[in-house]
Amino acid sequence: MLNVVVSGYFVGLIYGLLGVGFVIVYRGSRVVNFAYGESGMVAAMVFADLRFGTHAARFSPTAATDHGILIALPLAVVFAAALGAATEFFVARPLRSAPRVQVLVGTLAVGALLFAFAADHWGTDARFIKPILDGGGVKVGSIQVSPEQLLIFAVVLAVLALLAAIYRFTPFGLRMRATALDPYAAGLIGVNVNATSMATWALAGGLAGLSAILIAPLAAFNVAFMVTLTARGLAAALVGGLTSITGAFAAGVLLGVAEAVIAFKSPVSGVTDLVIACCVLLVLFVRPTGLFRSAY
Amino acid sequence: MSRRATMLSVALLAPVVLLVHAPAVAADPATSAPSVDRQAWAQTMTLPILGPSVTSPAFQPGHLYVGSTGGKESARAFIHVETAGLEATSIAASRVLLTEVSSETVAPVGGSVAACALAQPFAQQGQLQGHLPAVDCRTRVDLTRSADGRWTLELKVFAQNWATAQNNGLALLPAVGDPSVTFRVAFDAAKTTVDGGMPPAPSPPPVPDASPASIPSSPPPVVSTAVTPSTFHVDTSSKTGTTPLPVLTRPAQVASVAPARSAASPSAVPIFALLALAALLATLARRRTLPGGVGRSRTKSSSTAVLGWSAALAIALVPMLFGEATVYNAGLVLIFVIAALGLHLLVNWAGQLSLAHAGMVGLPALVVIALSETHQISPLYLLPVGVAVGAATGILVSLPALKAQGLQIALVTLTAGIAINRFFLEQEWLVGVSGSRSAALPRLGPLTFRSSKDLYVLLVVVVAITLVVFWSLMHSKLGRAWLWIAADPPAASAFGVPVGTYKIAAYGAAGAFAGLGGGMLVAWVRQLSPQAFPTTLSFTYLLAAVLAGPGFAGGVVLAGLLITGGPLVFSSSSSQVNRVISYLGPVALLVNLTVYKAGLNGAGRNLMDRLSRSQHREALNGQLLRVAGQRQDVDVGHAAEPDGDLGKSLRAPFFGGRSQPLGIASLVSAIAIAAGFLAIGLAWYHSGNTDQVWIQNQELISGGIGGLALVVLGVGVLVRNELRHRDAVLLNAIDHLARHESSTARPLVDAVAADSPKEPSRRARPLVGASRDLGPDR
Repeated sequence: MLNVVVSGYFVGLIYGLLGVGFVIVYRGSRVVNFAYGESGMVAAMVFADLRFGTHAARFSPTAATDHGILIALPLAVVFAAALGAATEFFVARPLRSAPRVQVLVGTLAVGALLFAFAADHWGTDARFIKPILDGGGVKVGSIQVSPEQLLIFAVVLAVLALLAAIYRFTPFGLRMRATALDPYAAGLIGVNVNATSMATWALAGGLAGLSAILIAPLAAFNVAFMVTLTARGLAAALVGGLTSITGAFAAGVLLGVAEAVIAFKSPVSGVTDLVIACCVLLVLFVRPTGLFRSAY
Repeated sequence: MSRRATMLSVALLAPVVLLVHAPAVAADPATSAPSVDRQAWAQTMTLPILGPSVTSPAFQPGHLYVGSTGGKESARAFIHVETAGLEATSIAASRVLLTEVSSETVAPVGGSVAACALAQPFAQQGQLQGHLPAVDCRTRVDLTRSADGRWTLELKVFAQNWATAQNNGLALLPAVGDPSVTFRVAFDAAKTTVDGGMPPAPSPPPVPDASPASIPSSPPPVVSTAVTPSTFHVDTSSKTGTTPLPVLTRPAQVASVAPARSAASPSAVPIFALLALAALLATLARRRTLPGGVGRSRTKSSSTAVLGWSAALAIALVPMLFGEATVYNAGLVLIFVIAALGLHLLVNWAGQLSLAHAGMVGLPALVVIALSETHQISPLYLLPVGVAVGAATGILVSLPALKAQGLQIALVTLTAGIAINRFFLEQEWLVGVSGSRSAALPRLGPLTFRSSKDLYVLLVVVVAITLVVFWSLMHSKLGRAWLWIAADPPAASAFGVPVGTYKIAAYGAAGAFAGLGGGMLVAWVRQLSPQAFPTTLSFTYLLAAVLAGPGFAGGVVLAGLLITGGPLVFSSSSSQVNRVISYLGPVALLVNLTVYKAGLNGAGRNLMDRLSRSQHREALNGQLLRVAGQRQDVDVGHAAEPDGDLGKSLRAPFFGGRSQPLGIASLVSAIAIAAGFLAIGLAWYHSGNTDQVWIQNQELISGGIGGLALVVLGVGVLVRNELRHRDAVLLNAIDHLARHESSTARPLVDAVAADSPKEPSRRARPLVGASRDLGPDR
């Protein structure tokens, strides 16, 4: 049982990480970015290209094409950040005064576009990707923790700390909060609204890329591998109240553990999703603002 | 004008309608031996998400896979044996020989491979995605395997059916007795051969397919036919002489070119255009019913509407002219449209949002197919069940959505949709033990629908009924209330509209349309697995609804064609075009959201406004201004209909003008139309007579699309010319009136001045001046 909880906890970290990405964009421009998972997926594909060769050598990685993680990882993350910025420029900015639902549909279209591109360029079959860290992992009591899980744990901690610092202590964080609250007023007091908004989206895009690269070795790595995961991340963000980073993260971990436990206990497949959906909807009925509410 | 245009289009289409009942395609020349012309396979089990870090095994292009994981089917293959014009005895004596790839085959101990007849055709080669053709396992045979990895498939059991009825091909399925069996067989598609058949007449050897030019010279007597389908690796080394019997290696492109019943048939381009035209007509026929214009009177006569409707119907029947595969794909588009209408209603009329539409389609579809399979009821009788289940699902989704605020609606409905997908669509009692179900043969009273062609007419009727229901729903009290709720819920509530109840009703109606679509899908494809309804399908439906924009159904049809119509025109062999099509939907949506904003419905309205009313008014205004001596350019963007007295009094006496001179423009446009049709015909002819795919593509683009553009251009110029001419006649009359009967002219001019709601000040001023000049008694 403890084993189940622990493995659920590490899956929950992933949900939390994805949920945090949604919260960043939502705080920045009051939009749920449905292209989030897809931009991450494209970044992970680029990463795999840089490390294990292009799609031609799908299941026979050649060492000759490996550019090393020090080049591949930053390049892929920057690429994802650029995708986020482009989404802002082409969709969120023209629609800033439009109803929010329209922007949401716009990000859906961007996601569909990225998906079409990825399916076209890399195919729909699963690709080869090696875990970033190798090794046997750590054994604590009866619980086996893989190096990948440890890596995710470390990255999540670092990302959370970094985001908290940015929002709390930097002028950029202040500008982001001001822009989110009221773009017009922020513009009046001299904040460059466009630049701030684009930086927010780029930050979220980079985070999407980083998350996807971390997750890819754990999932069946094809063009659709982020779809289910981002749905869970969204649920986490929703339960967390859409504006609270810690809330989204905590809700993500909660979801992961709950999912693992229910899946362990229940004999019927699919009950997990039903129960989780009901829980999410119940939380929203009881507390429409989510479990956690943060100031902006 | 529009009446004439409609009559013209009906006149053009009448032969088409007549042809629908003509025999579809001339029978192929008799073939001496059956040959395999299409091979495909599909994964039927998805990969586990977040499983152990083991990547799935590689799938090589050019190989076919049949497999079973833990007793559940994980992959199946499809082959189509061309038997047109063959005797049953000749087919019965034939065997298909398949060669396994030993490096990719996991020993099939305890498992075997069986072949079942297909109830639906398949058109593509290689790996299939999405809807798979339905399997009819009442005729089935087990394959036998020899020690050297050759599999033999006897065609005897299928012979009678294929010779007398439809031959849709075969499915190769894993035949598993023991639930723990895991195996996989990979076949090399390039090595599939057909053995046997009756020895042909010695001379002249018949051509084995419908395209006479594809076989350059007289082949030797054909006994065994090696297959090299175009999408697979082509084995260029001729096998002639290596076997005791002479072997003909068919040209690589034959499979994608020749059979008239293949979806790759280039003649499908006109279908696409005609379907689009039908959608456009549907947009135009009801353009008065846009939101915001609901209360306005319709000036078009109902006879025009009827003509427009019948033209749209006739165009919708055009795919019947083509092969089974084309009809099948066209049906999928129509079914998509039925389901998308539900979301269109929800999004564009009631102003709500749902990301659970895939569940609203999938759940009724699976309920219908489960009932149909277990009780052997025709899925057509179960359509009401589908509608009811869909409506119930919609209402269920609406409950959390009511509570949500703003963007939460999207997330809440998405969560509900995922729950439906991942719970109900996983249950064995619903989706069947093997993960997919086959419906009973669609029947309606004494009628039995064995092929897509049989069912297509019924599908068109269902679509028409759906449109009528949609139309009357939109014009009911409920429809008006929905518009109000979309615009301003508090105001609607203040005036006594029960907002909450009507929102639930909107979700219920959306679910009902979706359920109808799901039920029809069952009758259409007859075999479904839950993989047909992924969560992302909801996004596709939303894309269609937003792309359509506010208005009637025409935009939805156009959006459906844009998103799902690709296979209608291009088979997977021209994957370049398919790729472009996959980008079109999202890009169009983005452009619509950020730049255009009116949707396809709005585009249709604008086009029509531009063609008729605005020009009418422009000329009218210009003339009045000239009379007043104050020439000024007038904005004609979204001018309103000249309703009421003006419209009536202007129309009545002057519309019989027959003395139109044959201007240069008319001549040019007539030539353009003729040239366009000529180009289409030439392209059609030529691409049917070549086996080079790239030449065909060029013909398609230059001849087909270019010719179509010419025709459209010509018709446009003609229409414009006609309008100009009528305006001139009209204005002469007005001048006449103004000069001699000022008392009649006054109300006319005032009416013109009054009906420009957009920019009253800018327009009114010169018109007031005009009226002063015109009215000497002032």
